[in-house]
Amino acid sequence: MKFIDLAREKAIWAGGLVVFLLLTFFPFTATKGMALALLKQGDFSHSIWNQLGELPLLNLLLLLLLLITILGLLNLGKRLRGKLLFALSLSGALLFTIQFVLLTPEIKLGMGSFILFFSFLLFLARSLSRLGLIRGDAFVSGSILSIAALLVIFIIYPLLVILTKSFIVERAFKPANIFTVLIAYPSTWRIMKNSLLMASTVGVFSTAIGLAFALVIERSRFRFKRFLHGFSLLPIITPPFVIGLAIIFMFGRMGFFTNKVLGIRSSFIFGYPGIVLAQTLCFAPIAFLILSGVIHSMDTALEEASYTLGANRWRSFRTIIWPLMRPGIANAFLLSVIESLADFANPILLGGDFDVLATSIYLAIIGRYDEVLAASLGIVLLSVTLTTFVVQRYWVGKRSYVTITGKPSRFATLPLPKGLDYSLVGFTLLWAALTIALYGSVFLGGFVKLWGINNTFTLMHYKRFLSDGFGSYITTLQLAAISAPLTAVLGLLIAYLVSRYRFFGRQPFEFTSMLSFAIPGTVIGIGYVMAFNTAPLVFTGTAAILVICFVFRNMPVGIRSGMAALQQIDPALEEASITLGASNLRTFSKVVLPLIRPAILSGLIFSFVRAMTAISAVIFLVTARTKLATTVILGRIEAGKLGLATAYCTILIITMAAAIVLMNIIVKRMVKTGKMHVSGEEMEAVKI
Amino acid sequence: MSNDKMETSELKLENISKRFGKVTAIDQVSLDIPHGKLITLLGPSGCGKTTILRIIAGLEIPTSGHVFLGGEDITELPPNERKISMVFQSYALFPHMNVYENIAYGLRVMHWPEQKIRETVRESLKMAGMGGLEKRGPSELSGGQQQRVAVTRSLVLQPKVLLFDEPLSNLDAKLRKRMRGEIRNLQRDLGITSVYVTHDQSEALAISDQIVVMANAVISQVGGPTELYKKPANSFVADFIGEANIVEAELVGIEGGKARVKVGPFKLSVHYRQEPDKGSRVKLMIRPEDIHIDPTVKKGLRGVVKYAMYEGATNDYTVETEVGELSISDYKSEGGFCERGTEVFLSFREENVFLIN
Repeated sequence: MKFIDLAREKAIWAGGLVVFLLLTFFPFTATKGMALALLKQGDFSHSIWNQLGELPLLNLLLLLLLLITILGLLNLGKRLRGKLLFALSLSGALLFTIQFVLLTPEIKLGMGSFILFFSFLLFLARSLSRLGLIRGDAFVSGSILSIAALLVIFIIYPLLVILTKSFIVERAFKPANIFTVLIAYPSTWRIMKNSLLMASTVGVFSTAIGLAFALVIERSRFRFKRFLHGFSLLPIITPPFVIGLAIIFMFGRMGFFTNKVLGIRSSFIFGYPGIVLAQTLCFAPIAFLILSGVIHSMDTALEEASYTLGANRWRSFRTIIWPLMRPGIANAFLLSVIESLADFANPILLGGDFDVLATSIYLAIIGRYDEVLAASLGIVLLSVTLTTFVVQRYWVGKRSYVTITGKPSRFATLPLPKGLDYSLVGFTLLWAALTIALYGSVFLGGFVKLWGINNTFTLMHYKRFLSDGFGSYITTLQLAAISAPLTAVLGLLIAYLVSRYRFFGRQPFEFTSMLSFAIPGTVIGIGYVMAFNTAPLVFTGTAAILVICFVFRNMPVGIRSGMAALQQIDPALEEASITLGASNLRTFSKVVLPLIRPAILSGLIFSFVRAMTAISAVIFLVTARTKLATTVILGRIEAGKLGLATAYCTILIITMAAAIVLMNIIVKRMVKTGKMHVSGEEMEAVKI
Repeated sequence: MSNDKMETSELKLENISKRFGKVTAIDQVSLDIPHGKLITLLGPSGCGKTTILRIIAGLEIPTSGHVFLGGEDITELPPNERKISMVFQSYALFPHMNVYENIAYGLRVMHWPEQKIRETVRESLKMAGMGGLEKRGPSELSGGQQQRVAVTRSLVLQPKVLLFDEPLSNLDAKLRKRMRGEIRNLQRDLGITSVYVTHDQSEALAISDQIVVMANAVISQVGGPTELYKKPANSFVADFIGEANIVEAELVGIEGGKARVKVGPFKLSVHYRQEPDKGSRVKLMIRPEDIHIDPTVKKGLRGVVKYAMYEGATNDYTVETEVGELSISDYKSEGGFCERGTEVFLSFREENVFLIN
């Protein structure tokens, strides 16, 4: 073992040479907005070597890179080289930022410039780990720095662009401008009132219904409660517009229930009642998932203690179960509120005159092409959801009594008080029946000529789908399939870094990575349009921006499931691997990854499905060449072709259900053949 | 191995401090660990012993101070480049690998040829008395077998130092005794420098060449097992290693390297570590087994039995006397079992009473 002796460092000089090589082949600046353009055959006119004359600072950057390469070839002590490398790479990264963000923001950056910037970052990471400033080796510090850079570019930067659109008028910083804009727009007050009214109603209803289901499934005597569990799966694989379409089919002007049963013709459902019904159907299952987790992990010994102390069932429920559940209830409520505010599909379909923030932003961009108004409304929406998010995460989160390490005694679940039990079962069955009727109507709607008017059986919508939707279906599948593994890996890596390493800036790092959960899709969408339509970073119009958007929007899901899985793994396993001589990268791939395979799979499923069903953000980013399923469906609905839209939705649901079943089979087989060790809880995590 | 090498310290800690935020886990600890010896870090939970172990392993970087291995500064060397192996409290056997793959893990990291790995693993498993269990998963092994796999997995790498983090705390009492014998023999046979963390003082006494007693982030005393038991440096060590009665006494004088003290009705001549100041009150350490109890003699220190417990091999008592409550382990029980409330008379085994400054 060599410890202090002087040596060359291959990773540095070889790395430097590779970067020089890549810079030669990849275009340094972008043409026609193709930021990710790869090699252009035989055309090196955009490589860095042809740009040197135009940008003096580029010479300096290349000199720094050369010095770093030479540094790897010199025989130096580790510490000295670490310090030199730190100085060189840090100044490289800073100079790059100064040059292209501050001095020449009008230059469109190409693949080569990304390579140059990230190579500086990775050299910096290596020096940080050499100097012991980030615990762990270059893999860890490199991941942290690269992910941090990506978070800044794809989450912080678009938000900043939105802010500047609204706060900066003719190059002067005027934060009051947002109020001027909002006051000048006549509907502002109405929109805000509508949004808050909608979100709070939906929050209350979703939580109540989620709670009813959670209590029944966890604590009821009802024998067939398993059947109700499937309820939790439906909204996940439901594309946007499905519930909206179903509500139109059931309760609209020609609706089955309103027209055929009640015999009325009315559009009352469009507006507040329709949106609230649709969103409650969509988000109650999310509240259910949270609350059933809370009830499931509640120690029944507490209740038993209450009985032995002389309290009856009802009193125990009131004084023990209920107070313990309260933080979970607050959690479910706030998350439903966030989802409701961010929801775009239901209000656009069922809103009628009842416009809310999410749809107004869309209309401001698409209808009026008023970026400043869109940005200002976006800021309002963002501040409401962010506040809710912060409250949920830091206030309610800390008040939770349920600990993850707590071992619930699962010998017997204590049933609910009888009266409560029967009424809850009755209610949940009714709600389940409504859900089934709605989904059924969507299914049937694809097979009739014109719902409510001409109910003859036909396959014409599915035939039409082959010519009018199949292309976008394939595109969607491809993009979802590309983005799902990226999302899952990135999410897991972040979860691993955040839960296993202490480093400077860990908390903002974690907060930012979870932030995109709280940013409504429409806001991210206009942020991306405004940020990546102009130099220095141009991505719009490409499929890449859709993938990037999917990855960064769905990342929190991967992070959550990764965190949950990592909590089950003894950190000593990783330490054992490291003390046995393995690098952090080897430890991650040979020990951590195999052990959290269920989490990877559930992360994959979720991000795949979420990419398939995304609408609010991508609606701003699609082009004629990159049409997505959801945007096509919206287009068909707007054109009045409800049958086609319905058929398309059905095909999407079947696709996603098939994907989930397939993944579950893979997981089960892996467990059976002993390739995977999972606890019951992890299995649960995979199932949902 | 030359005598010279025996003397050199293999592992050396120099003024190590570690702070986690405002909490000081280790405060200016220095330690020399000689080649081929087994050193135990002993102390109550939270005293910093595990943190020292983790700093040696490289899993923590000290806030200040240096770690030397064979004369070289390894303070900032990553753990995977240190040639130091660790046996974890939970064993940390990889649950998704069988016994063979667990033991081969470190060898594969070193890119050994698979053929050589196979021979080495088979050989070492045979030595550990576990031949034929290669294909078993960790969950299919008993606690003792898991322990052996964990030790073997570390040993096949021929580390310069082997670290044990409370390796026996998950085993039942009987197995614990057996395994500590196994570990001790293995360590002696291989002559491997070892650092062993435990909070179990009997384990420390049984297994160590040297014991480092720690309290509140600092070292209280370093010494061999006998020395610590018989001549503790302070009342913390006296109380932590075995059971001890700490009794106040009056110093009468110093005579022939011994202190003459007065305690209750007795005048004793006792050993000390540092010469006490004249005329001061001093503390004596008296082990429970060094107190003779007799209900009949009617002479010596009079007391009344407060708690009486039959423990099989011994009768244990707590007796109230004029010098305070005393714990007593009566091995011979010549006077029979004394019930609660019995009036008894005590005498001390003078040569084992030790003066603590």
